[in-house]
This record gives sequence, structure tokens and C-alpha cells, in this order.
Amino acid sequence: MSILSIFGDLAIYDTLNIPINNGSVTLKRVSNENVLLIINRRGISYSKLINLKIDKQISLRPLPPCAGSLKVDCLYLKLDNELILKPNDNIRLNTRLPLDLGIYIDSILIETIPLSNVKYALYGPPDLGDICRLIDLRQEKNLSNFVKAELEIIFESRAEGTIGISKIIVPLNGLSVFRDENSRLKLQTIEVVVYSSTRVEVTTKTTIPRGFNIFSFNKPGEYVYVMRYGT
Amino acid sequence: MVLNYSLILQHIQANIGIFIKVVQAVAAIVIAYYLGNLVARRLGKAIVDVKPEVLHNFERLIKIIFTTIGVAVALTIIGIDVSSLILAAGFAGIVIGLAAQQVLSHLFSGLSLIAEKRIRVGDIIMIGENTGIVESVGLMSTRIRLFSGEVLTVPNTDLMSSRIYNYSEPKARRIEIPITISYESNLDKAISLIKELLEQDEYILSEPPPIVFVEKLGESGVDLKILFWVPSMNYWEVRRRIVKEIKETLEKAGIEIPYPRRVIWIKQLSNNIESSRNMETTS
Repeated sequence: MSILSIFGDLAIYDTLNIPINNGSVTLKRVSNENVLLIINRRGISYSKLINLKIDKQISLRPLPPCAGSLKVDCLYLKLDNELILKPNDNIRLNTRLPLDLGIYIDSILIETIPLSNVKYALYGPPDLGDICRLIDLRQEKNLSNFVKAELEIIFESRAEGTIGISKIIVPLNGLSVFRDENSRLKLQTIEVVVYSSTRVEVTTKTTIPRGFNIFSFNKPGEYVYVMRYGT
Repeated sequence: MVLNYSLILQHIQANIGIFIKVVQAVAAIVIAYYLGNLVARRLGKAIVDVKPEVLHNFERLIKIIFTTIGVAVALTIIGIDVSSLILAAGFAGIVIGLAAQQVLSHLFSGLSLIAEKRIRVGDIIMIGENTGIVESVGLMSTRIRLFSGEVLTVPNTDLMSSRIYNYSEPKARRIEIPITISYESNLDKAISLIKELLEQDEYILSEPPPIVFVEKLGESGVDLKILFWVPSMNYWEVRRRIVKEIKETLEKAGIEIPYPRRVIWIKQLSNNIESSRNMETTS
């Protein structure tokens, strides 16, 4: 069963096995009250017991890439090419981001499972900076088998000189996943305002565009990350 | 007996004013004490975004202030002039200050530690040769639960004058691993295998990128140095695991990690001996 085909609501009567990158997710009915969730990643397996009555459904939804061993608040988005921004430039960049899997019961997120390789990066100095989930767009282009969503990033330069951008730090909160009319997965647009090489504001804001259905989100609202340690 | 009762009653009637004052004074202290406790508890619940050590000491300070006010009110009720007491306390303060220099030094060190945020409850610190988790930061001393299980209580003055390594403050820490491979092994292959291994590990940060380089040409082989960053909380876990994994990876690829060795040129020596023997026979 393909991971893309199983997004949605499911009733678990017996056993459901979903192959994911480097492993699998298994949902196994153990009693009328409980379901056993078995996650296998890179040969390491762990299980959790979920209280799910037989008449209830479980929701599998794509999530912004927030799953992994570490709890992080931001994405370290490494651009495939350095972007040169002249003063007053306004550039739109379209790319694709890998997604993770969220397991929901009654609209409550109970488990997140990474569907792509997870790596982390430190932005800034070790004491003041932030550890972020790394998304390297140079590598992502070669990895077509992961579940991905389209993403638009709008860069606006209010700097006095030319600034080169090779990475942006994106707050995970505020990022949402949508499904458009063609059932394509899309991520919330990210706005990047560049004031200088040591002041770049990256904003994620949960808004529901007309005609779209919101699929899942990390935490709704408007969040701004100020990049102070270079671009 | 009747006489005794009447005597007691007479005594009470004569000193009823004093009894009322004593009751009022005790009530003032008790009320102040309970009020202090109540305010401290309420503030403790209301203030969420404060470190536990600051909150704990702040609560104690509030209790002390309220109880002091209660005692002052009680003394005023009894008829003791508090202003003269304050004056006397001023002199007493100087005397006590001189006598209790060390206690006050601990106290101010404690306040300074809390204000500076050098260490916080839950931090992993190393002081001298002791490493452990900070359990409490008091006004006088700090308790550290050592990894071996014992509790180390350090006076705050000692802590202030010591070099403290706080392992919890940085979000990421660098791991350095020295490794030697034999001169006969393929150096580029070894470096690339190690880099590949580091890239695959989820906890090893991609930024700053891991570095593997030749440090020097050693006595036994080529000395490599491996540098990479990990989240602070995973430091020991990764360090323990990765050294083993590097060894296994290199061994699988047939890259030798040599024992310390020394090459002795016996050939040269035997040639010299033979030539000297020849010289002897000729002569």
C-alpha cells in the first residue's frame, strides 16, 4: 500500500501495514478497545498501545516535517542555490518539501512519524542559537520517493545593499498542509523579509485559502523567526 | 481552694490589659506568618516563567519579610518601641556582620549565583573533579547529585570562586575523536567511510558540518581527527556509540587500526657487523 493512498480516516479491524522510507508503520487491533502501533525505522522497532474503540476511526494525515527524535521548533531550509537579493527585490521561489506522517484520533495528534531522512542543524552559536530540522533542498531534488508538498517562499528585500541568501530558518508553528482541488498537497506560503544579513524575518501564518481544505497543521497562528546570525 | 480561685481572678482582672496585649501580639505574629505563607504560595503559583531556584528563594524571602513585620507589630502592641529596636538592630547588624562574615559571604554568593544564572536546577555541571546534576541552589549552599549517586553540598562562596563547566547551557556540543589508521590503508577511503557514517547518524548535526582530517603522521600510523557537533542532551549517548561504529566500519572495509609499533633496521646493523668481520679477517 502506498503511503499517499492511505491519508485519510481509517477503521482498524485487523492489521494495517504501511511501508515508509527505511521501515514500516503497522496498526494492529489487539482488542475491541486497543490498537497496537508498531513503528519500524532503520531496523529499530518500537510499539505503543493506543486506546481506539472498534467503532472509532484513526486519521492519518501528512504533517509539515516536524517529526524526529528531537523536539525542534524550526526548519533549517538550505536552498539549492544561493539567492542574490538586490534592494527592493521581490522574488517568489517554488520548491517541494518532504512531509511527515501524523496519526490523529478525534482530531488530537497522538504520534508523528518521519517519512524522510531526519537530520538536524545548528543555526547560530551553540549557546544562543537553535537546533533545527535540516531540509537540504539540493539533496531533496534527488529524493523523489518521499511524500512531498509544494511550497512557495516569497522573498522581499528591504536591505540597502545586495544580500545573498543560502538558508532560511522557518518556524514550524504556523505551517499548514493543504489539499488543492487537484488533490495536490501544498504547504503554507512562507514570507521572508530581508533587512540586512543579520536581520531576516521569516513568517509562517496559518490562513485557509478559498477553495482549499486544511489538512493538518503543527500549531495554527502567526509566527516569526528573526535570523540574527547570518544568511 | 476558693481563696486561690479568687486570687487568680483578681490577678487576671488586674492584668487583663497585659493579657489582651499578649494575645494580640501572638495573633499578629501568627497572622503575619500565615499571610506570608499564603502570599508566597499564591505568588509561586502565579509566577510560571521563573526558574525553580529563584522561586524557592523568593518564597522564603516573602515569608521572612511578613514574619518580621508580624514581630514588629507584636512588639509595638506589647509596648516596646520598635524604632529604638531598629537603632539597636543597626548596631547589632554591624556586630553580627563582622561575626558572621562567612555566612553573609555565602548568602551574597547565593544571591549572585541566582541572579547571574550561572547554574540552574537540572543543569549538568562539572566542578573540580565532580560531575553531576544541580538539585537545588539555596541561599547558602548548592546541592549537586553526582553521577555516582552521592549528594555533594558546595557552599556558594566556593562555587563562586570555582571554575564551573555547565554542560547544559549550550544547545550543542562538539565531540573530538582521534583515530589512527595504518600507513598501508587507503586514507581517502577511510575518510569517506567515516564521513558517510557521520552523515547517516540522526543525532550528528549537519551544520556545523562534521570534519575528518589528517592531524599528523604518527609513529604507528596516520593520525586522523574527527570533529562533529551533537545536541548537548545526546552528547554521551552519541560519543559512546560512534567510536564503536567507526571501528566496526573501518574493520569491515579492511582498514587497519594499528597497534603502537616501531620499525628496527636490523639489516643495516648485520651488514655493518659482517663488513667489520671481513675487515678483521683481511687484517
